[in-house]
Amino acid sequence: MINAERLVQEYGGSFRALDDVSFEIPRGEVVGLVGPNGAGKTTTMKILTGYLVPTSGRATIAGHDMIDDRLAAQRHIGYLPESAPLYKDMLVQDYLVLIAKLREIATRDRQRRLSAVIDACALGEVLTKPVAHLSKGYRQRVGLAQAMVHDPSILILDEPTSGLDPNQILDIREMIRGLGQEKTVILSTHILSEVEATCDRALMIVAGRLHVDEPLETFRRGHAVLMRVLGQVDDLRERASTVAGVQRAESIVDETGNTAVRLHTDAREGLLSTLGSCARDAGWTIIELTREHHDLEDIFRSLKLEKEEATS
Amino acid sequence: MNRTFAIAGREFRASLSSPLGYVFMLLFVIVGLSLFFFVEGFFSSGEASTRGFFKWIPFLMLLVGPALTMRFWADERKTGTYEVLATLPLTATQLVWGKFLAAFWMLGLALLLTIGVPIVASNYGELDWGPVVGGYTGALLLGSAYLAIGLVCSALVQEQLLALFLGWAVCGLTLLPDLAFWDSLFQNAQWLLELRSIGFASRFDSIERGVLDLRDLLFYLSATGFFLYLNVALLRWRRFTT
Repeated sequence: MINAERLVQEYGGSFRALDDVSFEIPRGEVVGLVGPNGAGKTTTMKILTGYLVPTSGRATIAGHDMIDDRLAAQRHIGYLPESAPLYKDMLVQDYLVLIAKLREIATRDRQRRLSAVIDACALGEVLTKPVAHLSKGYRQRVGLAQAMVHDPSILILDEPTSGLDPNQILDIREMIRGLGQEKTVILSTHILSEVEATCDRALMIVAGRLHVDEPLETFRRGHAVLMRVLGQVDDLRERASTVAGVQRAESIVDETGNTAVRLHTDAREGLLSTLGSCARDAGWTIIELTREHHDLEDIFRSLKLEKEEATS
Repeated sequence: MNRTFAIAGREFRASLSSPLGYVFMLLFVIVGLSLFFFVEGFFSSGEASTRGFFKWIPFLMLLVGPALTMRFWADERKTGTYEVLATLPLTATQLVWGKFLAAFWMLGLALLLTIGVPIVASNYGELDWGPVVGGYTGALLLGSAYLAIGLVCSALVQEQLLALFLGWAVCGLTLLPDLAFWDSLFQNAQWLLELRSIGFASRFDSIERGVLDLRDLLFYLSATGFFLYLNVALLRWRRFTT
């Protein structure tokens, strides 16, 4: 459905925003584009939607080349740009009608399509309000409605949940999951839990390069465990790192006078109880033993470490 | 075609609801009427003629052309809405025509608001309507060229006011050969007369006298076409840059 082939994007001749990025996304898959800010997520989306022509490489959408056959390719796509830019002076309903007209939706289908997206995005209450008066959450939903008016087979959503409150985030995620039943969706985010909650697969982009293109299970490996014991225990790090399943242990500064380590583990079953019995044998009093919520930063850090290890 | 009109309609309504759009349209009308009634001394002369108004048209069009178009691309890029527009299945030509049409309607509306000039003049005697029709036709054509220049300037920058000043500067260049000042300096040199044929105001003189010469009309039309094409090329080129 979506094919990116060796995309390279250079800005100003020297800075490479994207460096040889290739991937393929089959019909009906929900894919998360993750990476730190400035990694190239938005650039990738701008190329896939035809806003930007890459320095080299090509993007193909539903069999249409984005450069040679841009209009045909763009008809298949609904796009929500970052921070949902809208005409602030327009009423919500007028804006959606405008987009429907520009999308060449036949007049007889227009009302049906508009009601469908107004329903899906829960915009019923704000239809006659100017966009300028809407909250961030509503604007995001108007942006989504705009992307879905023509019932596209592909949705490209740049940071669809940024700036929303937790309830709104849950709403949008649920909506994306629903859309993923029949549509191909690419969304970008820097929140890993978002990818886990909504996507089948994740593409990680760091500094313009594609790092991971695998199903999400990959991310679940390499969990970190935080272990904190009472008092000053000098050999905690050393002994904990010998436990089976622990790959690496690092000391953490504890200002309360206790001792803490972060253990990078392979997330095998029963690891926490193994650690518990190890502590009992050693005579430590555990005051905290938790699986850390592994976030993107950890993965970026471990990617970086792997890379450094590989080069040294 | 329908989509070009959809863009034009949205842009026209946005112009009418934008305070800056109003200010400049009113400024145009006020300046235009003041020049005619007070500076040119219409009431003291008491002649049934609109020359005192139409002779100022090149200057008035220069004033209002870039002002009507300054927002059109600059704001679109500044607020990011251009990204939505550019990823819709629309050609650059459709986008540019849509914007141009909206500006053209605004210009027509502004000129309509000066209709009081010939109406008042006709009360002072037998008014020759030929120059009036010629004057308004010429104003629309000359104005179109300035709108096209204004659009290009708006597509070059992201700040409306910068687009306005840039537009005034470029439109000002087209009036440069027309300045009477050169005559005293170069004593009617042949090259000056030839250069003057591309001056936007000199061409307007004959139109304003009621002589609609096809060559003059074609001159303004090709100038408009040239800058609209430049605008299309600029939008296409944007896809290759940030």
